[in-house]
Amino acid sequence: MKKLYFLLVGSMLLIFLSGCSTLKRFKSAQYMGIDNSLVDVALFGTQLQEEMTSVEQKNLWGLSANAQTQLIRIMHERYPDNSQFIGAINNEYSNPGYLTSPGYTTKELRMVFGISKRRDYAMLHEPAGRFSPADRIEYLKFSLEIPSSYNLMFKEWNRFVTEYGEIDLADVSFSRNLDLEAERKVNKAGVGGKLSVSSQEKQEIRSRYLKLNGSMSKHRISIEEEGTREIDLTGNVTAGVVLEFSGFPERVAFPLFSDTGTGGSSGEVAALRFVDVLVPAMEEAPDTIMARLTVEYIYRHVASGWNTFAEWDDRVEYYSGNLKKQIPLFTRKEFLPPFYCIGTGMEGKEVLKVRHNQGRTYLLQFSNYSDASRFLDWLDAWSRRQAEPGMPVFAGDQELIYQGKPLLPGQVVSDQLKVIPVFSNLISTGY
Amino acid sequence: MYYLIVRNLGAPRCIDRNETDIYEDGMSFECTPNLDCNAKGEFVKEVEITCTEYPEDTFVAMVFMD
Repeated sequence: MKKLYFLLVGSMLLIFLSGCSTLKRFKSAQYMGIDNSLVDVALFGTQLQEEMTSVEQKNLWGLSANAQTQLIRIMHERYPDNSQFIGAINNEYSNPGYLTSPGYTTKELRMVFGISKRRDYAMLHEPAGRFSPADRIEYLKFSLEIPSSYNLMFKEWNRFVTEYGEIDLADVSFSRNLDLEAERKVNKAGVGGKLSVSSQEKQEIRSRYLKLNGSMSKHRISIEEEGTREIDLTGNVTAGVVLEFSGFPERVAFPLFSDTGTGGSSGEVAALRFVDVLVPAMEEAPDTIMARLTVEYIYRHVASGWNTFAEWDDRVEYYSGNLKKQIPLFTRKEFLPPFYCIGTGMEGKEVLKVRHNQGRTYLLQFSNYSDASRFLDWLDAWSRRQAEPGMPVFAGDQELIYQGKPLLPGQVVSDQLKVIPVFSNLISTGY
Repeated sequence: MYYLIVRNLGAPRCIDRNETDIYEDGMSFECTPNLDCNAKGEFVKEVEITCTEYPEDTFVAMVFMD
């Protein structure tokens, strides 16, 4: 009799346990309508990086041993004077001709989105309340759209990081499941707990816990996240994308000095090299590049059953919602090229230009403050040394033009030329 | 004299000049030169040009005369 009793109780327990399996998603579910106040998404951090244009410069020490020996021999014959010889072997030799680089038009943008839900603890036991500690954001889709007027477009995904894992990308679209390390991460996060989850359940969790989709068009990116059970999409999401402006050509000067290039005042300008680069093509430079953020979500509200960690006993109410907002992507200072020129003002003819061999004049602009400043130091020192004030100034074999005429040494001193930003909105030099 | 001026990132630049108005849509010019032009000339028209250095895109340029 006792045996029969234990058998009966045992089989009932078995039936009970299988009936209460946590493999059930919920006890009941109902769609309740739209509530746009349950979730908020904010872009609270951006980081912008750019590829800088570099001119490949070579000096003696970069040559092969044989080439070094030959060049030293030639230099020795050409410069018998010791200081001239040392100066000559430290010369930098740039590749001839013009180089083209898209450096200023491509930006790597990393955005950190903060996804939060309304935590209305005051309404916890109220029938009208829409919050319980077991609530979670089950589905999230957010899109970022850039107005076409900026001449700026998305190029490719770089990286996508959520609370549950990260994926590196280099494409225009992706669709991934985050599942490989699910078991470890779930335990670490304390969802379910090691002791309360059977091996079969672990297997189920391991199969998939977060599905990610991303798509990209010229002016729009879209990210879709869907969490499986017990995965709340609240938290931070980092999306890294590559953006590209349409290009507009600029010609930048790189002064090559006869000394080692360490900034010593004794260096002479041996030559001016010119590099064609592309800068963002925009007629005006807006203060801030804005984007339109659109968020759609499904909110899983647990109306009852939230006092247990397991979800199978939850009476679930689903709410959908969406929100739209304008968010700043980056500021003018971050996308304007930091070009500098020399003169007294950007209006009219008050800046130094350079006349090329073909007779055309170009703005003498440098890719950074340091190059412009060092060139001006040389120009000032050279001008003060000149005995003939009426002799035009040359940098290497390039004639400098100022106020529509060849620059004279006296003008450098009398007009107090200074380094000024080419794009006048860039005020701070950092020096 | 007629002047062809392009404006990018808020900075105007004179890229060509001619004694007659030769400027029409679809023409191609070097866009990196910075010529001395009369900034107080009379506005004539806008034309869409391409730059020889970067022919992928078209840019709006303004024609002035004095």
